Amino acid sequence: MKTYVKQIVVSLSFTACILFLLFSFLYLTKNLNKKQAVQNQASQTQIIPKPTPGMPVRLIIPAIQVDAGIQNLGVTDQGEMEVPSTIIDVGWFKPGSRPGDIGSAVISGHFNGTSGEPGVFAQLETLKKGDELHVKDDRGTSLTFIVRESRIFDPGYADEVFGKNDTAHLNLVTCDGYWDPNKKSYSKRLVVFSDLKQ
Amino acid sequence: MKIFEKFGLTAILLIIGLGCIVFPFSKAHAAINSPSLGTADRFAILAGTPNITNVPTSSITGDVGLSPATGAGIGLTAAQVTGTIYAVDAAGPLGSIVNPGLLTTAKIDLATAYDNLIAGDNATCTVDYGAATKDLSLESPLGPGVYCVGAGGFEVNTTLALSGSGVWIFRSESTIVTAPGSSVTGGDPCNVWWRSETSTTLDTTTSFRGNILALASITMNTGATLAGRALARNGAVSLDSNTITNAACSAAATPTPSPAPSSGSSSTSTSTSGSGGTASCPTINCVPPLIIDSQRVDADSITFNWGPYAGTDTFTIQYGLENGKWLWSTNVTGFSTTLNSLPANQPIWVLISPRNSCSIAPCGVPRLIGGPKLPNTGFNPLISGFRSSW
Repeated sequence: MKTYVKQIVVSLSFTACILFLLFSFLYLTKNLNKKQAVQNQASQTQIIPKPTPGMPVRLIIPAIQVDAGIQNLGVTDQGEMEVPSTIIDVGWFKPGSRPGDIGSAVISGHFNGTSGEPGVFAQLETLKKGDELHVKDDRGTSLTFIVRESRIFDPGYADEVFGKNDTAHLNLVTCDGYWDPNKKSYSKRLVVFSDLKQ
Repeated sequence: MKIFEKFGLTAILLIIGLGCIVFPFSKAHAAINSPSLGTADRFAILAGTPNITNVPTSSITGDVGLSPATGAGIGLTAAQVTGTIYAVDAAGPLGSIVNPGLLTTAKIDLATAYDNLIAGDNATCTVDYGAATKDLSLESPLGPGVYCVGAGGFEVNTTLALSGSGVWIFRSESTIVTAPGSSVTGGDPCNVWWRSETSTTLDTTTSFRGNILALASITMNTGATLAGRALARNGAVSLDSNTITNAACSAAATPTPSPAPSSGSSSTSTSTSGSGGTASCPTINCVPPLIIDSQRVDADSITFNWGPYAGTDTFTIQYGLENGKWLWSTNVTGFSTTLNSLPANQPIWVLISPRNSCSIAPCGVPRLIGGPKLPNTGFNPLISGFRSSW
């Protein structure tokens, strides 16, 4: 009799144990799934950040034989975009978008040098729709942009050049027009607009 | 003997069957849960009045907010905060964002969470230590549960290990005080809750875990660290060379198991019980606002407008010198605004987010406005006569 009771007690505790394990397993998997679902839901409502491109280091424009280093530029005291320190380098406007990011990345280059010698962007006006630009970043990846149009601007503010952010753009800027000795500046600016090749 | 032989198996089967039915029931009703912090979740520090004091240097990961006291009472600098400092007025430290609406909502959500720590499935104490002061480290290790103490309050004098996984709620009708060098280990900080009906003090070099929700004030002495949040409903938060890291907690960190009668149909009722304080906020139809036109007015102001109308005409505009680093914020009703007192001639990144009275929908895309003048990239060409056509 006693052994029988013992047997029952043992088998009962055994089944209880199995049950407990089974339920805790079910409970855990259920909760994990829920947690996952909550996380998935959360990530869907947020903007999923794209992997950001590296820092641009080199601009290559086969059509006009440009292969130039890229400097980082900011804004002058007069509110103008800075220009590269040499006529062979180009300069990227660092406060703005990076080439390849959604937004308008802007790169400027000299039209000529102090003694009139041609600068890196002297031939920029000859670029035409469909020409390719390549930007290499410090991680070794290369992005290709396709020229969309060239336009002449007055010197001054041009949010259209810096602010458009529907897709990834790269805009190249240099001088154009005639030399104004009083203002020590050319009268116009040439902007070449290009779009990231998908 | 024969009776056992006859009924033994049936009895066992019956008990298994009963167990199958009873087990989920009993589990569901006893399940303690982490309340939702709602908009307070983003904060590492929230305080009421009069201030957030700090003996430098502290390192805070998570947002910092003081309300209703003036932003002048915030003693943390932006350099010490990996996150955003929110103030109710422009008197906050450099880089703080004025957003009284968010702070008011966060304080309401904090109060809701404070209440939910003693309500519903969390109402019953797993262990009630009575009125006398209780040193929790003497009970270490402690499994998940609701631990309660009366007027004497809780102490942690050496080490309190939280073992297992689940939710721990420590409820003191009075203070929670640690000794120098004491520590709390184990447990997910998101699921460890310290509810003090007066004040909480972490003494020097204490290593603490969990969300502290104090009705009055929270004090951290020299070198104390906290993996969690210091949320004071009414009083101050006082810091002295501390580190606070708020792990992001999912709104429904531990969903309450459903009390549904059959084990298979539990998924339907989960969302009703777990979400707490955010339930009453109407959702925003989030269509990303697009800037239509932007124009620099002068060296330090830029005007711009945006669209389309998608159910709301109230927006939060965040802006700063770098994409993603928002130094300033303003609320706008309508579809245009002018930002003034900007750093001279600097282009500004702007993020426009639709909002209502209780939440902000982060669906906008940052855009650069007030770009610089086009660069002057040329020199006098007459020397070489280059580009003679002009």
